[in-house]
Amino acid sequence: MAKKNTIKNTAKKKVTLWKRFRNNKAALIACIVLIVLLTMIFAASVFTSYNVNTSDLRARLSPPGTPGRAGNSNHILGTDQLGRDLFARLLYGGRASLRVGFTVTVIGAIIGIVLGLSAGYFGGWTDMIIMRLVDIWSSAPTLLIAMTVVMIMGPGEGNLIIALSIASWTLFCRMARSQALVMRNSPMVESGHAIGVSTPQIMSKHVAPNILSPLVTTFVIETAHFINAEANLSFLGFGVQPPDTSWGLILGEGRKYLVQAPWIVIYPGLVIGITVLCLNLIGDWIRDEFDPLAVKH
Amino acid sequence: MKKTLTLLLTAIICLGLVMSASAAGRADKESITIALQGELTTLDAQYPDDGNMRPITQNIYDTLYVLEKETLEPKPWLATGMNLVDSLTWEFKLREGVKFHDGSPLTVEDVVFSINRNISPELNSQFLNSVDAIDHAEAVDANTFRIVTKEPDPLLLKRLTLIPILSKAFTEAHTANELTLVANGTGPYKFVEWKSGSHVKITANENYWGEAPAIKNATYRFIEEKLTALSALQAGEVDLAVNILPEYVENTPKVFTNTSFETYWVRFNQIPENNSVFKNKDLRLAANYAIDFNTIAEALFLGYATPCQGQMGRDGYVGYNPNIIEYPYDVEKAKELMKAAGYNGEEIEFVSQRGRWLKDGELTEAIASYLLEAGFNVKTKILSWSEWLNVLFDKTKAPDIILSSNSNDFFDMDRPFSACVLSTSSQSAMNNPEYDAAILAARQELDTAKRQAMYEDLAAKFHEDPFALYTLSINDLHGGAADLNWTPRRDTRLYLIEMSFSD
Repeated sequence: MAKKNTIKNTAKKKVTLWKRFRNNKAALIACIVLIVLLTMIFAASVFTSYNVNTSDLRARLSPPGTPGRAGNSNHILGTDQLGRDLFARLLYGGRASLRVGFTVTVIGAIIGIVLGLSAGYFGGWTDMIIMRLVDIWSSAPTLLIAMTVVMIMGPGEGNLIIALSIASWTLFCRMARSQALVMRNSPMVESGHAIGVSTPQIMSKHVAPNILSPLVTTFVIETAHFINAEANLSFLGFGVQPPDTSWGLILGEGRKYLVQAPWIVIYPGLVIGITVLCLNLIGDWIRDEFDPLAVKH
Repeated sequence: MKKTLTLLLTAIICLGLVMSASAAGRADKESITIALQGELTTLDAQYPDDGNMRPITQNIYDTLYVLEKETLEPKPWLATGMNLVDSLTWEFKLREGVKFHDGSPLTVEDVVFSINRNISPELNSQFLNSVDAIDHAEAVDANTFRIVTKEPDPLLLKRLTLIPILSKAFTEAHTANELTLVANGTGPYKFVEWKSGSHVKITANENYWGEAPAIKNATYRFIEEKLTALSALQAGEVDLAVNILPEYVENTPKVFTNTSFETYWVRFNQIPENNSVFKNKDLRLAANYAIDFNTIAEALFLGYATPCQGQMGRDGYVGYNPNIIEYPYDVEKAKELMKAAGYNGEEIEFVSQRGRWLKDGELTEAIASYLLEAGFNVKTKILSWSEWLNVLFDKTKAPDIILSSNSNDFFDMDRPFSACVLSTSSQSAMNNPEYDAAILAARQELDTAKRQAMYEDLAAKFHEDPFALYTLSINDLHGGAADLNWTPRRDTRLYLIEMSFSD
């Protein structure tokens, strides 16, 4: 009987969650747009027949809609400075941009959550040392640190991920710590201690799951932030290097031709903007939905 | 009320129109503003190899010889005559009545000091390799001096076009640090000020020994972003923007262009100890056949580049071989050669950098794309400038192919051969004693006709047995104000004395 009730409750909760999501038009649209975008990026070969690195110098800087050569489809977004199809480059370039943004955030989240939980849970000297480290770390601008690291290690996607990861953990650390502080003194943790559950078990099984929702919000918004950071650094020449490509690199390489071929700059700019906006809207929605203090419902 | 406002607005717009119209006629025909691609590093003209400094210091300092604009032959400038004493010793007469900007007269002592300083290991000039063929200079009498070379050196007079003549007393009175910020030459313009991050100003030298220039004042601004330089030119903020992109031509009031001496080349790794597929001659030839240099020149550089004619030079260079024709673009032939050579898809590392020379990154990708199409398994690797330099100069790290640029400011085939082939050169990735001997022999041949024949012979050999993808030489391309009169020089020097504004 009790079991039946729980199932019913979850089902009901799911329905209202979906309902609320459906009613939040912005988040809904953002989610749909993002799913479409991701599908196109990861199944790029279905959507374009062009090879991302095949140049056709005679067709360089062709405007959007120019017919392709000999049986190829139209260049719907035009071509770039080497006559490569811009649509194909945006799709394949998106992989690098998302890969960097996602990997950097995952690495930052792991490091930050482990350190933040330890700081919040143990308190005292551990807290003191870790949090001062965070203070020092976050006083230096992210992009500047990343640029310095890339300059020393040389440009490229791998080094870019390392460089940005170095700067990406501090926010997670702060979030995890403040949540762990709250949890530390909760009756649940206290009773756990009382019945002899080990500290790592308390932290991983009881504390971590309960502080997940703010961290998920942070995760989504930070991913957007680091997609932006990748674009910035690649634009400046410190990030992804040819023959690989990314949105920032397409922008950076194309900016010299802004006057003659504005589409090389407009489309990657738009795609970056849309992706970041969608992620932020979804992040906001998650926060509103799971934050008990939000008074919406 | 509304009416007054409309009236006021109309008045403002009219005023704006009138003012912009009056800007069309140049009020001050004696002042020019030039946009350089970046800030200079020093004013000590003997030290750096700095493309942002030379346009300025070339107007402040004179040299003993200058290149004749059309023929590119050295013609006497501060020197007035030359006499070969023996195959190593050259005797020169110095022009009389020349004064430095600080009023002191130019003496033989200054000349001897300047030459010896420029070749000294203490200064360690960044263009030392262009002048270190000189052993030393010495004074003979009040207006005669001698220059002694290490080997017989047919290029000596061209080397002297690179050495700025400084005042001995002035240079010795300043510390090395101070010398980066001051200048005292004999040239047509005097240094006025250098506002770091903003501009350098120079003004006409009223005591100049030569003809007085039409332009009296020049301001050099540092604009790194090419699009910003173009906007500044369109807005009339600058009168000359150097090295614009070919794509900007249609938006430029007036285009100034001429051939120059920068040649792109892709070096094959032929070092015997290294494991490179390009030790095989047929593959080197195949790569040259696989690339459509004409299309690259026309489509990527919009015609402001000339494909190499199957050799590392262009017509007008001493030693250029007019009988060699370019490798035709022939993918089938390339594939045949690759098959015959037994190429089996071995990975080829192609190292390059981007951002240093005109369209270097795009050129790299275009070349890689052509090679891939022919069946070469090319992996492109773009390095930062310093990493790239390391790889270029370290023979143990030599990649299979690497893109580089050779500047031949002597317009002489000795330059590419000595830099790219000669096994003792830091840039060479081959070791062929026969070629080494031929290059060294030609380098010391004082008879021009014999030298020409020797280089033509070498060029023919290097056509059969290429040491590089002879890519293309780029043209100088500048944008200027519509009323600027100037013909760019093949030696790329921006002599203000050759510029003027029309009425």
